[in-house]
Amino acid sequence: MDKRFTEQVHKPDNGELAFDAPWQAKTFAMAVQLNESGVFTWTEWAEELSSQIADFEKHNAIENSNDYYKLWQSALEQLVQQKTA
Amino acid sequence: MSEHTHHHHAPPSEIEERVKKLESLLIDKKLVDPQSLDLLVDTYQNKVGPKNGAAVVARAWTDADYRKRLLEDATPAIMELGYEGRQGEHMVCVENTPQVHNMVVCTLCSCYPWPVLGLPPAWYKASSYRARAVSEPREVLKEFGLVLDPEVEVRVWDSTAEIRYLVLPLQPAGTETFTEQQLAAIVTRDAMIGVTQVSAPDAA
Repeated sequence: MDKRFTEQVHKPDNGELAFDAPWQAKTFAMAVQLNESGVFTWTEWAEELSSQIADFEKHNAIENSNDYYKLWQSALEQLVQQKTA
Repeated sequence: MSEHTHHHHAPPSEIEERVKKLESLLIDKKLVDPQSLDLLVDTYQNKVGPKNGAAVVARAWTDADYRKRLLEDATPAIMELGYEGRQGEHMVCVENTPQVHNMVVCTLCSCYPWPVLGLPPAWYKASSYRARAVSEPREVLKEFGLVLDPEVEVRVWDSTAEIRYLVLPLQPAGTETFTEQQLAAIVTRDAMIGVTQVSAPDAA
């Protein structure tokens, strides 16, 4: 194969990891699984996450995955409480 | 807001405790299964990524009929290559031309086409990108190193829980003789979000 291509190896994630810490992966996976088992729809999920983000952004800015997945976890806690109480 | 200090022997942080507590609760209620959680993480950490989208783009560049199908109705066209699933149920492919440059954002949260691009990069979720992609897209593109001619129209697409966008970048000049596989290797994630363009590899 042309040398140009072997040098320009395609990185599936452009070198970035999907998660910075195991807890981020865990909260991500829990939300996906609860959606799949029908505890909430993805639209309900997006609304709750958006609302957590909007609240946070009144006074703060999301700068990294840590900030973001904390809000993800808050949204998940909120929906679990609503849907499984 | 961010804490970059890292204590290897520190007790679990508050957020780690919260996640663990919720996980235990959901396992007790049999609402989640630990093995499926691990499988999900592995999938998005290691298996699904922009390589999928790059294959779609390369096919569109080399097969005019496929390109037409992709632009008309992206979801089944993407499925033809075997990419489907969560957050790819309703895909729309937007085509860059010499006159129009498309870029994608999710202003409210972080909606993103997982089956073709994997999970979004940190900057896509950041407040700054989500606000500025709409208020000053050309400035944002400049920061990604893309300076567009003022004549070029910039279209910004706001993803939702229902609709996910994939940008079909312009095929760079000098790649006309490339094979589909060679083309797939030069298509980047950022170009498919629409914050950069695809460039031809430097001549060896």
